[in-house]
Amino acid sequence: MNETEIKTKLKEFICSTLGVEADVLEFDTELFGDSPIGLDSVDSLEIIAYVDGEYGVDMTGVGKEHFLNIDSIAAYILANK
Amino acid sequence: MKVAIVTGASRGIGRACAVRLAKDGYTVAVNYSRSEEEAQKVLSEIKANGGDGMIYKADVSDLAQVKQMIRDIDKQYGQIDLLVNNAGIVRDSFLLALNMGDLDSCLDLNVKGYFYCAQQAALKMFRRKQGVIINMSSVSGELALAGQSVYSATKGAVNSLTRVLAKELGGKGIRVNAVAPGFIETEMINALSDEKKEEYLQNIPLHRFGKAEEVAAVVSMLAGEEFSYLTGQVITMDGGISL
Repeated sequence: MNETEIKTKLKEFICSTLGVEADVLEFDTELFGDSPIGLDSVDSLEIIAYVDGEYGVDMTGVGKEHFLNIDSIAAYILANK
Repeated sequence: MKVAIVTGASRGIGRACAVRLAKDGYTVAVNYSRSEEEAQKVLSEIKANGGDGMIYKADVSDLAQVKQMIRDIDKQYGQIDLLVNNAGIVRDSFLLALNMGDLDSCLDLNVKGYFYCAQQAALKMFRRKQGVIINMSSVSGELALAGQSVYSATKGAVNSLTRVLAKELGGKGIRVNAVAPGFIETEMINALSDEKKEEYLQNIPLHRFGKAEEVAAVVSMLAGEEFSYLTGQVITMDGGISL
């Protein structure tokens, strides 16, 4: 699975599970905090569980910098797969 | 098929939990750290009763080993339904005689180990939005016994952890409870002198020590669907000693 496919699947997951509208979510859109997307820490758990289940990559205890956006999550997956 | 992991399951309360849960229909992963022979006996007993499971060697105070264990068990069975956080040690000492190596060992296994296993098991349970975590606490978590500051502190931490995790994970379909046994007939109690045993018995309203199987029965109850509205609780079963 290449980088673009991973990002596309991450986006699909975030939209379908966390209720984010697809048309406001780009790969470099900030996901958490005061960003328009505004995901919270509970949402990050969903992402951690998804990444673990889908790619077998453990993101428990990983720094916030890896959850900035879809780009950074995908980069972490690729680096640790 | 439901899958349970019992840490520290080669002897005592952990062993009884593993055997009971297998009778309840769980496929049981019998975690052990050193006693492979004892763990194998537990698995043999499980199989003799018509159950199924595996033994898995892992030091649960080591996060890397916990991650590998949970990953392997999840991969083998496809799911994890129940974690019984049970592995623990007792290193009683009065404060001024306290050995800091013992303090570290207790904190690593009795507290950090519970965090590690809960985190990694919850990660797998999260996927299916269901699961149960049961933490083995102790009446010492509430009761002040001189010489047990370290053990009491670790079990107090387990009680707090239980309540907070119940709140964090409840919305994801994961229940978290604890069992706090009093004096249970295990190797630790059996090693006491008759005089010491009698001294303890005088303080227990039921005038007997509990049995590991009785603790396992509470674990079985907490894991079951009939108690699916119960979370964040510490169930004390101590023959009344804490009253």
